[in-house]
Amino acid sequence: MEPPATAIFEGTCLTIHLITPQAEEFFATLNPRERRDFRVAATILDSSLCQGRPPGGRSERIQGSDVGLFELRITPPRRRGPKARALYIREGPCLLVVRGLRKARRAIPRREIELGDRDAKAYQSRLGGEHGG
Amino acid sequence: MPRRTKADLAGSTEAERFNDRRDFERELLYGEAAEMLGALVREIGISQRDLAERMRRSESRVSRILNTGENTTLKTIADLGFALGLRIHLTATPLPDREQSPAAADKPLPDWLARHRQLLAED
Repeated sequence: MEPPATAIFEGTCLTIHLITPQAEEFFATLNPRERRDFRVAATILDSSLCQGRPPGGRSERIQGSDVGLFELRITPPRRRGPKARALYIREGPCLLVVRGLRKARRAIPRREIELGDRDAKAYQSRLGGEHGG
Repeated sequence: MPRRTKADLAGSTEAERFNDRRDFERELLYGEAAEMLGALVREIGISQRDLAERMRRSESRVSRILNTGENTTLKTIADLGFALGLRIHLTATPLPDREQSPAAADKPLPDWLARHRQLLAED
């Protein structure tokens, strides 16, 4: 599966791409501190992948997702206030972000998981169609 | 290059870049420490309660150490390592954009630093 051309993060072992309008809009609203938080979270994830280190908390598989969505915790755990999160699927070394959200609680709202699953399936079927002819 | 102080940079976009770059390194160290320790504890399969008992700390304190990494002293990290039967090492690598950092005009890094990293990698 071909990733989108533009990457918002290029590490040693992974790249991160925005594949839906919602994800693009969400990232456009990040303030400078949240942008830095994103670079930090992405760098930690990149380091984990390069080392073969399993997740230690900053990124987790989302329980109850049909397509195997993961959550990237952009805002560090200790920070008060709304937490910025990115929901993504993995295609080899490419992390494809389908949704971004800010939430007050630890758990991802069920509705966001459903929307993330829907967008990921739509993306996969669109690319499958393109590759299938 | 003359050494620049924080006052020299105050109020400028350069000061903002300086602060952002420094804060990135802080957050990365906190985050990396929490991520590495969290991954270790998960893989070893020890509960936070058991770890707290081994460290003679409260469970909530251990949870904070593993979840945030912030305000964790070297003493606490050493204690955590000991509780897991591990020696925690400290090493340093040059920043990829070191020439943009306050250390731009410093002497080159000593050779032993690279050897130190290599020895740790081979350990």
